[in-house]
Amino acid sequence: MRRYLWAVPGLVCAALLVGVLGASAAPDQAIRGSLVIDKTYDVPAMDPGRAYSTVASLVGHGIYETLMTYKTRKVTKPEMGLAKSLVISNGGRTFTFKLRSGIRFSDGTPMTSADVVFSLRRVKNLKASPSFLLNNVVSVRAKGLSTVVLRTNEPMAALPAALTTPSLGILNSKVVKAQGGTDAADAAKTDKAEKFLNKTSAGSGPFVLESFSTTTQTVLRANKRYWGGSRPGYDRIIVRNVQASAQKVNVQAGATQIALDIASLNAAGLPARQFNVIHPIGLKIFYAFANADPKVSALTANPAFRKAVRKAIDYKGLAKLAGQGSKQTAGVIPSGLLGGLPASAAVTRDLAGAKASAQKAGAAGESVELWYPSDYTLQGVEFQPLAERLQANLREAGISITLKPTPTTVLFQSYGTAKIPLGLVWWAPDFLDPANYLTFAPGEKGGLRAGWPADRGVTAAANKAATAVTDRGPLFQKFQRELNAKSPFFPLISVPESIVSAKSVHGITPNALWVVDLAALRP
Amino acid sequence: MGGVRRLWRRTPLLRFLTRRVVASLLLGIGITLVAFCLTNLIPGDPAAANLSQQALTDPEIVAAFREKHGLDQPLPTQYVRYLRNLVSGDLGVSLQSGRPVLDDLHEYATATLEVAGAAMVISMVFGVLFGVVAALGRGGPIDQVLRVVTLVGVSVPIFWLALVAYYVIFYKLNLLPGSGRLDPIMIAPKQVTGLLTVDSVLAGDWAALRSASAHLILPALVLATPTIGLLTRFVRAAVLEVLADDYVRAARAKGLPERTVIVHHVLRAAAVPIVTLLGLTFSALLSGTVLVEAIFAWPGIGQYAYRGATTLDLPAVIGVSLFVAFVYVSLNLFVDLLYGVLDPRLRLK
Repeated sequence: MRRYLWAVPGLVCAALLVGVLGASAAPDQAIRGSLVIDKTYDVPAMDPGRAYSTVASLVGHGIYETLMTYKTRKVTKPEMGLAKSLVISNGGRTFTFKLRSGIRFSDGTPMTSADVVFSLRRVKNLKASPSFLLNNVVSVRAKGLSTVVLRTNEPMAALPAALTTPSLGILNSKVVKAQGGTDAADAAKTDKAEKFLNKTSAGSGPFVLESFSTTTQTVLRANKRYWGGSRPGYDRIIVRNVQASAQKVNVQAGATQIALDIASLNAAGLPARQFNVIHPIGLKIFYAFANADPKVSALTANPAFRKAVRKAIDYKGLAKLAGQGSKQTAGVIPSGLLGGLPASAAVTRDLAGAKASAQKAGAAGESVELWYPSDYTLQGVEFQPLAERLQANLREAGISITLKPTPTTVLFQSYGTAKIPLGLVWWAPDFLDPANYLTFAPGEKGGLRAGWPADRGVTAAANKAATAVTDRGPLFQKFQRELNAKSPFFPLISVPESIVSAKSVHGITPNALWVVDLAALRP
Repeated sequence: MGGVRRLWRRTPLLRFLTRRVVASLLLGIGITLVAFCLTNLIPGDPAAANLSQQALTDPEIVAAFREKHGLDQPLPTQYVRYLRNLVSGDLGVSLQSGRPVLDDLHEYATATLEVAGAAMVISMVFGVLFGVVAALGRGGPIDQVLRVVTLVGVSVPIFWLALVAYYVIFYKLNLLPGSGRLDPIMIAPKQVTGLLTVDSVLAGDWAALRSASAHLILPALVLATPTIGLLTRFVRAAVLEVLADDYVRAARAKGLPERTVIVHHVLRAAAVPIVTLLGLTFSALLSGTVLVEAIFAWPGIGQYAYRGATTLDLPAVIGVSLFVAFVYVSLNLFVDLLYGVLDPRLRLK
């Protein structure tokens, strides 16, 4: 035996060589009917009632269909999905949906109003992340086989937009119930269908779930019984969990056809003859805030200080720093959404005015800490350079700030208790309606986090926008103008995702919620 | 009873093993306590780290989350409950995956074991080979070259090496695949051991074996590079020390072939310190794969631990800590037992 010991290195070398020779060049998945997408994972589950993340939306939109949807990249008004009509009555408190005919689940079972009722009630009663979407919904009832009526406790014009969220996708109630699923009031404790829905799917969408892993990849297979007519362009779509740093190389090497986490700055360098770079409407915003509570900081609570900061920031410089597709947001609601302010309403830099306000606030000789996440990037944009740029901008106006990079979990703990004097954070809407931004109103969660409990004028504007059923756009614009004039918030820039794809992939329809419509992709 | 006592007195190995097992159990409890305290000392909220911003505004959702994961209980109660469950082999449910931590560990630890095991084999083979060659050619050109190469291997940051290897070998030369454990369009063989190469063989799926082996090489080589450097330096020193001993001179004087002298006399005598280092190195490889796993999208325990730490997923963090501790303790025990095999003098002690 021992005489063969010297052969071990040779064997290991041979094994390495075999591995190298066995490694074929990146296969052309497109030809073989499969498409590979790279995305950094944030998905703990595939159960739509529990999953609430970008990857869950990307995949879930292909598997589960919703009453309302968006068919183009425009997201100012939701369109009909499984519903063929919607009547809003009772001052915006009753929503009557009529279902399309001929809808079938992937196992061939026809969809009825009972499935819709079960699915929506289940989400509400699971008390999981997506449950808040139906917070104001007090009842979901079927009226015959094809009509569903939702009632809310107050006017909720945002409900149709909320119903586009893949988490509110409609499940095959018979299948899910057979697997322990329930829509009962105690579903949070008694529902047992999660395991089943993480392994397979029970939807009516153009894809079915073939396999799911929280860390490696999720595989979708075309639904052969899709009721909606045309079959997807790809038989299989594989969404892999790949770190953002490796995605550019993967797409360049042809190992993946679509990469979803390449930062705009990096995507800009890809040759246009080989790759498409598409930006959905950027709905995620960076914003800064100065705590309005004098107990936290007498300086940041001074209205003159807020004015100085607002005027001192070089917004266009920040947008340039963040890369292609980023732009200044005139208000907290980005321009692609209903109620977004036009670019002409954006704050412009006024250094002289900023210096005067800073002097009035007595900023000289005092330094304020600027908190921001040290372990998080928004669409690949780091907070550190933006914080440094803010520091430089404010220094020019005579305001001294100290940078305080902080882990996200710690930052949000302090932010939640309104202890941060000056912050640079982000906001991403949970669904595509301006109502998501009412949190910035005084006394609301966002307002309270910035130590801003009350302001009669802004609250009035927010209430009007919140309860309006028609002409909502101008009301949300008014709300934002009030915010820009009085609030401790400084909307900075919006950053879009970058969808980088090989030229061989066609039909990319970006969406701010589910990033890209998988069913529309064609080889 | 008396028989047990006699056996206890007469069997030093039993005494040794019992002491080690008891010490390991105490160590395990200590680890759970330290991980539990440290994770709770961080001024972060697991609900804030795992729920969406809007969901956090709903007290009912937050309360349901806390109740589901036992976070509504006082810390001592949470800890005692964790220990009670641990006794029955229940490591809790991960906040990030929603699955039992034990299931997660089975999936991720085997992925890490596969790449760390491959890296260990590569390290052992090349580290020992280079070390012996360097020692035999002491001061010569090969020794000098190996000295520089190993120094570079030890000094280069592993994440940088991984990025360069990824770019050059995968992207530029297209020699090996870059991300994952298997070609994404392939269907993985039925899971038996969790080691894809082994499972492919068991399933007779040779295409999967080729793909799994090819995916394994690059991360294993990167992971092995610093270990090869370390081992080479260590083996060289150990062999040089033994080469000067009288019995080696005697073996050579007897006219034994050089290969026999090196394998049977020199390496055997140098094996004890080398085995010690190997034990520690393998444990370090297991726990130090975070960066390599991230770059090569390798779904191992490093990525799981990182995500667990950033989402304040306490059951996952403690689960990984216990697993790594278990590997450390087991390997050290194995190494201690191996000493007796390698060096009969230690058995007598």
